[in-house]
Amino acid sequence: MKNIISKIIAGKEKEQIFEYVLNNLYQNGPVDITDMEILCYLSIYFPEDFRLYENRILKYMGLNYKHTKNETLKDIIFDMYSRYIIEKYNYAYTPIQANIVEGIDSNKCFSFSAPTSTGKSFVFRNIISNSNDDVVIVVPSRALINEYYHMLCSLIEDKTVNILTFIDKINVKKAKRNVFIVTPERCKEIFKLKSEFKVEFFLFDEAQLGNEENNRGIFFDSIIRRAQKAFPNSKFIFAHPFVNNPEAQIKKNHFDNDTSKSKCYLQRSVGQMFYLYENDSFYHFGIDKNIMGYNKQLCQYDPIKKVLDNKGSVLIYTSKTSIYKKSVFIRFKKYMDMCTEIQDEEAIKYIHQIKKYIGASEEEGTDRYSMMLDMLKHGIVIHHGSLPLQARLLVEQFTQKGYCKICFATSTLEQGVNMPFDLVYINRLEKSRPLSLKNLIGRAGRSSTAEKFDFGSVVVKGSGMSIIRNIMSAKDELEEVSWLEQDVESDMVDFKEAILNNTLSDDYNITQNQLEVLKKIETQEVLQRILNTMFKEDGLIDLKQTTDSDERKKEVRNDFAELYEIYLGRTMEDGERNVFDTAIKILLWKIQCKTFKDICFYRYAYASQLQKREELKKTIEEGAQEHKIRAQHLLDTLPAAFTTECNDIPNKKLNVYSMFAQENVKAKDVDYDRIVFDTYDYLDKIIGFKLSDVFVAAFEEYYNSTNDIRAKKMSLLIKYGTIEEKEIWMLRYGFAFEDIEWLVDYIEKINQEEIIFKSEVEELPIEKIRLIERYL
Amino acid sequence: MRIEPEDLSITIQDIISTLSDMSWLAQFDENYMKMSFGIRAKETADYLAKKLREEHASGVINNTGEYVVSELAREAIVEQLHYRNIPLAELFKKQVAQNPGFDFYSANKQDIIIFGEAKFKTNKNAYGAAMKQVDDFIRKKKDITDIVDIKDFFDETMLVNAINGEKAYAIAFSSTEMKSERIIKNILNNEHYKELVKHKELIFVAVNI
Repeated sequence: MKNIISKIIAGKEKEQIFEYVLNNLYQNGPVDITDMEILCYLSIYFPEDFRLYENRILKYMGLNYKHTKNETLKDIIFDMYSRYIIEKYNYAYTPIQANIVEGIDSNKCFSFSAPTSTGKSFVFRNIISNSNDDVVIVVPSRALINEYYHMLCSLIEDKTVNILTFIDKINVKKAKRNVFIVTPERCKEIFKLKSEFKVEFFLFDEAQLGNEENNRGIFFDSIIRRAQKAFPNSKFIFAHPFVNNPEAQIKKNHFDNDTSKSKCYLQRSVGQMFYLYENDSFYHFGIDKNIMGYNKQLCQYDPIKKVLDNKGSVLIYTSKTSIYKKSVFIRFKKYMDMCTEIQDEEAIKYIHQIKKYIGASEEEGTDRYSMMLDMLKHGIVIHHGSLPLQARLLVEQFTQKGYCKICFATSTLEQGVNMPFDLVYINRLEKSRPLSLKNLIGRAGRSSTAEKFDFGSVVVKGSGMSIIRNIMSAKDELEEVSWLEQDVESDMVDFKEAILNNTLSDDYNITQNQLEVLKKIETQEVLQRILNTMFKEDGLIDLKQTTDSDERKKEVRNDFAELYEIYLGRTMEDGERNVFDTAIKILLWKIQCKTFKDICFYRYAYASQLQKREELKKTIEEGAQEHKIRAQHLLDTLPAAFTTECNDIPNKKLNVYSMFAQENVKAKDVDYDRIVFDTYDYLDKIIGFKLSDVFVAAFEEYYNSTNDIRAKKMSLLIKYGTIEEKEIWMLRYGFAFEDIEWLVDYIEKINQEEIIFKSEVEELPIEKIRLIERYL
Repeated sequence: MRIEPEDLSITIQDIISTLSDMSWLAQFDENYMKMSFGIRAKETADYLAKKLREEHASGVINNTGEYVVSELAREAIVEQLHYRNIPLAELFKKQVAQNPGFDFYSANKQDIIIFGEAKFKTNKNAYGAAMKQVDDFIRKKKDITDIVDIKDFFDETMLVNAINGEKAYAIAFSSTEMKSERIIKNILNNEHYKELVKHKELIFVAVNI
C-alpha cells in the first residue's frame, strides 16, 4: 500500500485500506505505528464505515477492558483468550498486562518496556495491593511519588497497610506491612532498617533513570545492587517506556540469567496521528513515508480547534522561558480565548486551594496577581518543574478530573506523570532527547473504557516533520554497562568511588572525604559562630526582633558561605555567591517557621519595592498637586529591585544578574508567579538537593563531637523545619508542613507505635478528614 | 453433492485452530497455545455446533456457519472429485466480512478454476441465497478481481482460461432434512439457474446442519 493519507482523503480504495489494516492487526497485533495511524485516519474520514469495524478493531487490539461483542469467529479467538486471562488472573487484563504478570510471577527479576497507556499501572496496583509483605516502589521524581501515593491511597483501603513516601518504621501497632514510594535517594534508608522489613517486591518504574550519566544514574544502579544483596529473597521489577533492550537492566546489574527475564512490548492501546503546522495551515503527514505518503497533505480543519470544540484537552509542550516571557500565550491566544470560565464547584475548590497555598491574588492589577491562577479559572494549566509540588499535585488532579482544556507544559511532564491529552502540540522540538520526545508523544491519546478506538493527535511545526519521522522510527537503547563500571566525568569520580568502595555515608548522602572536611577544626569554628549568632542559650533567636538584626543576618550568611566554601574547597565566585546568599535567606525564613506563601510574599515585597510604592501611592492620594505628578511618575518608572534568580550551584561561570534586569521590569509589574516559581526552585533544587545534606551533616557531626544541643536543633530545623518532636513525627507520618498547623491540635499522641487523635477530629470538614483517614 | 457431517464440532475446532494460528496471539503466548488452547477450542466448538441448529442465530453463529459450509464443501470437492486442494479464502485473502468475495476455490481436471460461495441459514436450505450471491458476484466481476489474490495457487493455463471467461462455480449451502430430489428441483427452477448453468461447470454442495 502506498500514499494512504491522500487516498483516504480522496475517498479512494477505502475497502482495500480497511482490509489491509484489519489483516495486519489480526496477524501482528497493534504493534505498528503506521497501522495505528491508518486507523486514526479511517475513523476521521470514514466514521460510519469505521463504526462497522470498530468492535473488531478493539478485539484484535486485545483491549479486554472494553467489553466488546463477539460478531465473528475471529472475534471468538480473542474472546477465548480473554476468558482464559480472566479465569487465570481474576482481572480483565489485556494480553500484554497478563504477560507482564506472568513475567513477574515466574521470575525473580523481570525487566520490560512498553508504550505509554499499556496499563502497567493497573498491573502494579494489583500486585502491590495483593502482596502480603512490604513493597518498595522506586521512581525518579517527587512528582511521581505523589502520583503513586494518591493512587495507592485510594486503592488500598486496608488501614493495616502503611503507605509512606519515606522509608520509616512507624504506626507499628496498626500496620502489618508497608508500601514505600521513594526516589532512589530516599530508598537508601531501607538498608539501615533492613532487618525491620520483609520486602516482596522492589519495583523500579521509569527505570531508564539509571542511564543518566550523572550522580543520579550512578546512585540508581547502586541502589539496585545493594537491594539485591540486602534482600536476596525479593523480586525485582523494572519498567521502562519505549526502550528496545530492557534486558540491559539484567546485564548491567548482574542479575542471574536463569531467574531473570526481559520483554519489550510494542503493542499499543491508543492510536496516534500527526499534523504539521506551517504557514498558517495544518497538514497531515505519516511516519512511514513509503506507506503513508512522502508529502504532507493539506488538512481542511484546525485540529486544535476541533479538539477544544469537542471538549477535549490540548497539551502545548514549550520552553519555560516562553512561559516566563508569556510569548507562548500570545501565540496561542486564539485557542485560549475559546476556554470559557469554569463554573464547576470542585474545580473552583482546587483553584482556591492553590491560591491559598501560594498566597496569590487572581485579580489583574492587584499586588501578588497570579496569571497562573487567572488562567486556571478558564481551564488553562501551567505545568513545569518550578511549580511548587503542592500546587503541581493540585493542577495534576485538576487535569485528571478533566477540567484542563489547555496545558502549557515543559519537560517535567515527560516522565511518567499520568496526564494524557487529546492533542499534543510540540512547540519546542528537542531532537537530542529522543526518548523524552517519545514519552511526550505518548501523552497524546487517552485510553478509555468506552467501546471506541481511542486516539490522540500530535502537532509539530516547521522542520518537525522529518525530525518526528526519524525519532519515531529510531530504536532507543539503554546502556548495557552501568556507569559504575565505566569512566565518568571528573566531578563524578569521587561519588562513584565512594559508592564502589561503600564509603558513601548513608546518614548524610555525602562521601567520606567530604564528611572529613566537615569535621575539621576550622569548620567547627564556623559552626560555633553560626550557633552563637542564631541561638540565645538553647533557644532560637527571632532575628527580626534583635536590635542588630541586619548585622546578625549578614554575619550568619557569611558564616554559612564560609562553611560551604570549606566543603567546596574553594571560594565562591560572585554569581554563585549571590544565589547562595538568597538560598540562605530563604533557609533562615524556613527555619523560623515561615510558610511558603510568607516567603514568597517577603521576596515579592522586596522585588516589587512594595514599601516604596505604598509611600508613593499615599503621596498620590494625599499629597500636594506637584508632588502627586512627581510621585505618579516615580511609581510608573520605579524599577524592580535586584533579585537573584535561582540557578544551579556550584558554578564558577555564573554571572551576577537580576531576573528582572534584562526586560527592564518595573517594580509595579513584578510577576508574582515568577517569584513563586523561583522561591520553589531555591527550596527544592538548591536547599533541598544541594545544601541540606551538607549542613545537616556538619551540624550533626558537630553535635556528635561536642554534645552541643543547639547543633542538634539546628540539624533538625534544616532537615524538618521544626524541632518539635510532635511535628517531626507528623512529618514522618507523611503530613505536609502546611497541614501541621491546623492538625497539630487534634493529635492526642503520636509516636512510632501509633497516632491517637482527639475526639474533636470528627468535626473536621471532609477534605481534612481525607488527609488523616488512613490513621483513624 | 450432499454432505452429512459426522461431527460439526470437529470441523469448527479445526477452523478455530487454523484461525488461531494466524492471529498474533499464537506467537505472543505460546504457553497458552500449548497448555490451554485445545480444551477451550473444543468447548467453544461444541457450543457453536449446538448453536448452529438453533432458531435465532446471531452474527457469530452465521459467521461460523459459513465457515463450516465453506470448509466442508471445499473438502468434499477435493476428496470426492479429486479437484485441486486450496485452503479457504479467509486464510489467505485479506478480506473482511463487510466486503465479501468468494469463499473458496478449486480447479477441475480441465484446468477450469472453480469459484466457490457458501451460504448458511439456520434451519433453512440456503441455496437460493447462495445462487443469488454468485450471480451477483459474476455481474460485478468479483471472480476476475479475485484473480490477483489467488494466482499463486493456479497454473498459468487455468488463469488464462478464467480471464477468457472459461470459469466454473461451486454453490455450497446449509440444508435441512429436505430430500435431495426436492432440493434439486427447486434449484433447477431458481431464477438464477439459467444464468449460472451457462458456465463450464456448476457444482452444488448441500451441507446438512
